[in-house]
Amino acid sequence: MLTLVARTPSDTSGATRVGDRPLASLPERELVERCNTGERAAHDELYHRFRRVVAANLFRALGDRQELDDLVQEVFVIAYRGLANFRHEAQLATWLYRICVNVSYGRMRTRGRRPPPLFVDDLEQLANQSSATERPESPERALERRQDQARVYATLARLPAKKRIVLYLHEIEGRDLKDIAELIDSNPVTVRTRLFYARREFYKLLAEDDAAAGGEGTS
Amino acid sequence: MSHVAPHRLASYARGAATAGATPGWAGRRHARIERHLAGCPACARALARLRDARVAMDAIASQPAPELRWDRIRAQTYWALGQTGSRPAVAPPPALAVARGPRAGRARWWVPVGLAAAATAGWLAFGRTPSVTRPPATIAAPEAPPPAGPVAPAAVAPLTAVVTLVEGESTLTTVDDATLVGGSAIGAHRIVAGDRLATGTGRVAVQFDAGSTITVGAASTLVFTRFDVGAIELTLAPAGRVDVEVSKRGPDQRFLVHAGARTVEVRGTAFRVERQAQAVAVACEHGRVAVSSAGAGEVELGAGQALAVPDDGLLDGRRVRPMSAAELDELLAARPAALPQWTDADTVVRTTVTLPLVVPATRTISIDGVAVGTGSLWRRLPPGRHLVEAHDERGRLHGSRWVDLDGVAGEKPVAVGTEAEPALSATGTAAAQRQRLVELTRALGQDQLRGCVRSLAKQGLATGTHVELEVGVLASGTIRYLNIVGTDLPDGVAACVRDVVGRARLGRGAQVSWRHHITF
Repeated sequence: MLTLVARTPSDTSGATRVGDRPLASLPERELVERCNTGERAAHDELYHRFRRVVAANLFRALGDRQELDDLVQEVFVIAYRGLANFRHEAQLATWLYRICVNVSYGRMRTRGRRPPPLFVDDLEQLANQSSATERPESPERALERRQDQARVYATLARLPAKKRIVLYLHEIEGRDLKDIAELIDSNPVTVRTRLFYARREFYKLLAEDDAAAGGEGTS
Repeated sequence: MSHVAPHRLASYARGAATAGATPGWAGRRHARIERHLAGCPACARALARLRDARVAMDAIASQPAPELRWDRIRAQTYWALGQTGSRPAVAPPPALAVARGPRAGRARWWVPVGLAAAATAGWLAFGRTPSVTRPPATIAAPEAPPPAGPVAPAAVAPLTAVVTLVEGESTLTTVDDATLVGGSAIGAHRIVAGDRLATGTGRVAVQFDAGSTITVGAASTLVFTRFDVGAIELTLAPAGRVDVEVSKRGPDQRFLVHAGARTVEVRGTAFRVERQAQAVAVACEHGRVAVSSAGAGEVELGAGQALAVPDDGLLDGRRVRPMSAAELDELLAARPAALPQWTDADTVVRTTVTLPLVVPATRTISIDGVAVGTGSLWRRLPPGRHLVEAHDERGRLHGSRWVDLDGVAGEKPVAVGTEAEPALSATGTAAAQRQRLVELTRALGQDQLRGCVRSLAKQGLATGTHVELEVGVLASGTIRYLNIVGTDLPDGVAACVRDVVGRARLGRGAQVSWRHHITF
């Protein structure tokens, strides 16, 4: 049963006031160093700075809200464990993005062995939590938007994980071949080939619902 | 006529705005596609779909982070990090793992092979020397049983356990015969050998090692007969249930649970022993346990197996049965989570905080999203901010709050879910309800309602479907709550209907609630 009665914690959503975060202004390098000494407050600060970015990355890649809590946790566990090896060659956000991509890719691969998930519910839950700052949208339009997005995710889910991650990074995230190759530890030529076949398959599946002109070939 | 390949249509849709200005080969291809689209309705429809998908993909790209239970995730992250010693580490993502695996594997297998080769070469070079004793040709006799009679007490360090959960009314009788009642008193005591725990309607959980917990079930009495590094012996007397999770023990460390005439022995496992009315039941969640009895043999249980045997029955392997998934889930849920970081009992007591919670007896309490018990309880937690929620048996939320535990303010009971519940049954006079119902029906956007089921209507599936809503309206006309209590529509469509109802504007009038049916 759904209820509209407000819950006290949701109002804050775990938000922390700046005054409660003594390390809020700490530079990234120093923050990492203090994390590596095991300082709990530094871990808290790192989590607070990047939690929404991590959640958004994972949610965009997978379109699935049900497992999002676990995945965000997984990313931060990996990050905390690997912070000692972080050499500041890239920004912390870039490093975390790479972990997000790999966690998403891992989840896509395991998901491929399970029945396809239902995405509409996940998108529903997100839509029901739209914040007061969002532009008002008619329920009808919101439903159409959710259905379109659900169709994109459902089609993505039909692709093998290797193709799916490449297609997602290129077509949705707008990453170029070199970036993608670095993110998934591959080379640009492989990525280009994979992307070609992924696009061909993905758009064919998307257009299939309208394939009333059956029997005729495509060029 | 051959159609345009969808991926080419997608590229065209993306660059259509600049197609006229696109020079060279790409521009000529766009022009060719445009000519084809002018005479091919199928490709035009496909293009429209791909354009919709493109818009959806752009919307996905700018999708903000959904609101999650951030504090719960943070707490679970720290718990996961703290459990490294007893649980498998989270596997790193594949691309990050590439650099490590194979080299480490190669290095490992060369070591024993190299050592074996060196040993063989040495043996061949120097031959047998008189000092080397050959292994006996015959099978060694089994070890002699331990001598009967009193055994000199071994010099082993005593263990101390920390109470982590007290649910309901429980009693602890210490080895000094002092009687402690209630969560705060029991929680302040360190469990040692000779202590006796007796529970009422709830459970008591203690922890003595990283990942090693003993949970005494409801209406049970457990005696810590022996509790030291060399051996742990627990006795269920006269009856009761105990759930045990114990991390890997050394070969000389024994862990026994006595239940009547039966003894259960374990090494690194999670299991349950229950003794009721002249019978003993043992269930093993993971690892292995051996159930033995003097003169009645021994039976070994593996992961996911259970055994129930009367006191006078023979221990027989045929009594072992596999457990159902529901039984395994219940076994897992019976043990509250262990404290994440364990050094020794004194340090744990000093670095953790305690939280007495006051809730109605039927409410289930979750802390940081993990169910810990029912009714009022006492819990030991890491310091920090914790989310406490109270749910009823149907999973409905009845109260939640953040609790900041710093260990300085002292132990203060926290009440959750005790506030008066909103009236969810119909209220107000029948006439007032009818008036509000008519007002709401008039105020509803019929087109918007139809829009919610449009996609179903296209497939002929919308007719006869319904949504039943529980509506509460304040005197000011504000809709106080709006719950979907019954529907045969998909969740998304029902939520759309609820949103439409939620946008209705009502005037001042009676404060009522009622069940509102919408049928399509």
